[in-house]
Amino acid sequence: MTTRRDLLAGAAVFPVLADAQSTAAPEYKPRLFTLTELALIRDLADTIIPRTDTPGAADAKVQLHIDRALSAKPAAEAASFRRGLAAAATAVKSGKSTTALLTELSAAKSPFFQQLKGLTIDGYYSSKEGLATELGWHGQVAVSEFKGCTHKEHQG
Amino acid sequence: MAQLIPSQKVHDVVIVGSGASGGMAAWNLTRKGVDVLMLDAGSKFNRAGFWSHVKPWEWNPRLDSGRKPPQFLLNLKEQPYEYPKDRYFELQRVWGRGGKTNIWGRVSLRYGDVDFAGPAQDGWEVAWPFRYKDLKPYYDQVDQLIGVCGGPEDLDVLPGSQYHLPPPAPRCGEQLLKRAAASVGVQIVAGRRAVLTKPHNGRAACHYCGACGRGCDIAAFFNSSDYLIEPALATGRLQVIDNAVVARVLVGDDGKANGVQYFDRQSGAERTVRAKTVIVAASTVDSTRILLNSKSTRYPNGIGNSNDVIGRYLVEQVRFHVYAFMPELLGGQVHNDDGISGEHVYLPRFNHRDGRKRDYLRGFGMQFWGGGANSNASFAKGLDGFGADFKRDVKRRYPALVALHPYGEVLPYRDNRITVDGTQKDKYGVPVAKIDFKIGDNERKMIGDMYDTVEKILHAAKAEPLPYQRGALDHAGSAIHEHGTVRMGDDKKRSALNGFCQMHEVSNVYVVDGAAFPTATEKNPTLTILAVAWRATDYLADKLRKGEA
Repeated sequence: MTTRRDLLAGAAVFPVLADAQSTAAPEYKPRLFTLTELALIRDLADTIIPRTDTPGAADAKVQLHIDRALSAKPAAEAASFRRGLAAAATAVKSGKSTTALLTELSAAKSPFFQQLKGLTIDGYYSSKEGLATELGWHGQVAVSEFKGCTHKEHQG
Repeated sequence: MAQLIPSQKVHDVVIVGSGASGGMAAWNLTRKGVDVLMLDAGSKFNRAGFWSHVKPWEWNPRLDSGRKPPQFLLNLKEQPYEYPKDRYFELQRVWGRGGKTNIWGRVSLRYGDVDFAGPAQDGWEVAWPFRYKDLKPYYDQVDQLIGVCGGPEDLDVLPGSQYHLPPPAPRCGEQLLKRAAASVGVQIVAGRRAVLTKPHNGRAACHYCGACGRGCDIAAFFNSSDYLIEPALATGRLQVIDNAVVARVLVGDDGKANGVQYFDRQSGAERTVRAKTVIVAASTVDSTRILLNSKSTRYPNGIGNSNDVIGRYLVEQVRFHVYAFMPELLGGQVHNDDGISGEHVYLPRFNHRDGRKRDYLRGFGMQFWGGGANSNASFAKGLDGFGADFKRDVKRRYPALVALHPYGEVLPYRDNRITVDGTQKDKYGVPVAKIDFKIGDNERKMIGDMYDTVEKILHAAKAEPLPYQRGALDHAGSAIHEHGTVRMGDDKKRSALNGFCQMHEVSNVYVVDGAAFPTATEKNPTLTILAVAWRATDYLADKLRKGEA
């Protein structure tokens, strides 16, 4: 997997890439969560949507999406998320796997689980990894014709 | 109270608002030789700066680098409104050239005599002052002017048009729903949308990028700014003042309107303009707010409101969403389903046909936007579980999603109203609108029928719905189809305007937006707003020509 660090390292060797980098957006700086919290969010999100033959939530850096999304919401929402996250951190520290933890939370219809799952879905399926690579979305392009349904078996 | 400056220029006509109705008024009057001043609460949106083709994953990097998409929706912090604590009403406003037509849903349905004659028959609440035959020539003209795609159907609830552009082909899910509905005796027809499916009047055709909700980068769907206001400006007879937030219509000693008071949105400065005729076209809620705030010794209840009609009879529509998966499409190929964005088919009202019995008045239609391969997978929030199986399940369902959105008419109730009681004021010190809206028994019964219909179609399709709660509704106001608070009618005691949108009480004030409609119908109003505003300004231009205004 090529990381951003690899790209930056390569930039020194290939000036063309350096140019491309210099016009890219500045790296996102987390607004709400510490690096430790972000690591746990990443692991939990990646348990909800893991890497299979396609990228998972961690590959799509969903933890950053969650940080960004919650920072735009009323403070109460971020606060309740943080409480759930603290409880999850305690459970994981005591040796519980993220899968076991989320299985429990899911069965208990925990609001934190619902919140985490919703944010993970929003983040992953709006990323290139989730939307294009995993789901195969290829829209939002100019095309000259819209064919619609061409399946005989779907017609009246 | 604002004072007019006697030396100021007196404009023939001032138009408040630049959306569908204000744009139509400006376009029609200027081409007939009338000089017009338009007051727009915002300014022109920069089409070159629209984020139409920005992919979902490109948004955040753009935002991080300090770029911003155009801000169409009015920020409530800038211009608040009120509602009772327990009755939220959603209000979406666009202050800027073209108003909501920059980002509208584009559904363009003619009303029929079932709609126009209905109130006179069932008594809810005043009769429309005209019938379909009176409006048909205007619908025909509007279709030709703006370009509306659609099919050949010609129904009592949905009169046909010989000017439709070709309708876009249905997507797989829509095709299957159409077949399922037909099997239970319900007709789904080609959708009617103001989208150019082929080049029209010198404008380029839609390129099916599906991002209409962010504004079209080539104006391939009708918007008031490009289609009406630009041509009006080209006549040399239209002047537009940007960032002019109108507060009040001003009244002279003779009881007639003689101008308008507004505030500059940037400096906050109070200004006035003088005019012989005032056309109010600020969209239902803001038009009503302006009229109710236009209090004077002559009109203590707001201009033109001695009969206490203005602000009352607010109508909207009830609606809800049900999502489902079509079995034939599960795990199937993912197509580019963008098309003209939103549904390509429409389910016209049918509940009055074939001897169907119902215990409520009026009816509902159904729209289908949001089906097919979307640029998100929000539906996954309604699925159980997590992990690799969950991920596979989302992918399997992704191409199979369909969405059903019935819209039902809400009757005009006297107590559903907009008021300006003055307890909360905006940044200019002008009282804000308070919206008090609730549905009644008629709507509750209709909602049951709407759910029954959705379930019947899904059952026939063997579709699997996402979990939903029967009876659940979207927020009041979420259809963004507010109307009725300055209604037309022949009965001067029970209406504010005549059939040409002219005030009964103050003959040089016209209200040409959806506020003028006596009923909501179950259909989307913009096409009819354009037709009614065209007809009203034909009438006004004729009066001006004869020197009667």
